[in-house]
Amino acid sequence: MYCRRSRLIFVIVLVLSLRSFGILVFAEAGDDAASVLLDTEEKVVSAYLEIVHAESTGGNVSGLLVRLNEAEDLLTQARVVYKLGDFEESARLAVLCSAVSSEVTQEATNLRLEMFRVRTVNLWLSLTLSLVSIAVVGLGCFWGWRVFKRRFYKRVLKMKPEVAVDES
Amino acid sequence: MNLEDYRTVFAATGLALMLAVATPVIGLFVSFEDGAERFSELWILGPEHLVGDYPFDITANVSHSVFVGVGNHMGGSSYYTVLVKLRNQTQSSPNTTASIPSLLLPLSEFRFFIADGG
Repeated sequence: MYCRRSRLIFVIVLVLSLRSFGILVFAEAGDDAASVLLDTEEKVVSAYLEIVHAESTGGNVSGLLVRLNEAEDLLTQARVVYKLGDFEESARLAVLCSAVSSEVTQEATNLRLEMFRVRTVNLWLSLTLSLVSIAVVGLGCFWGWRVFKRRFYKRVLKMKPEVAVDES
Repeated sequence: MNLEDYRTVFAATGLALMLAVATPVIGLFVSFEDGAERFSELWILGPEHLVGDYPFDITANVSHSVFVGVGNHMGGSSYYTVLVKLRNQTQSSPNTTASIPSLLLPLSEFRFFIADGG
């Protein structure tokens, strides 16, 4: 009798433990997947911000936006799968999305740096050309003014004085 | 015109020419707003891709479709989120004048990026 009761208690405890363990494992997997999803969302947002920076420097970001939309699609799928309870698949999709987002971030950074370099070169080129042009225009005006002044004096000196008759 | 007048004309012409050749560099430092209005478009079409025949009478286990379009004219790439909410006439509705959305939780959401002009 005592042995049977002990066995029953043992079985109940075992079942409860396994169930709790299962719930714990399930909850842990869910927490992990949720954490991965949050990290991935942050990566997508970072990639977007990097694209905006690259765009503000004049870069063409349409290709990067297409890829980031693909990453966002993966993230959406990961969210749906997470809600359905398939945490493993959710984490897999989130990791894929994260990889694409990281690539996009890297390419956007490269594009931004490239555009910054091009802009710097253009700035110096424009600055140099403008300064040279200003100097040429200034010297041209100065030389033109001197030539004009010389001719003006010559013309004035060649003029004959007008003799006016004072009739008073 | 006397010589002083000619000198003024030369100086003014020279300054105008200098300003003209310096314009590309000035343009690099001074930004001019184009004055265009920034906005986002949102349109909802019925199942026939037309403005009408929206599914108002919803029944369970029957598929209904509407098409949502978003346009970006914000002057740069933008990140949009479209929240899908389903309500009956007694549930919380959005306040369009105060721009307050319905208090209902979204059934699903769509996030996407659109380039300017897209």
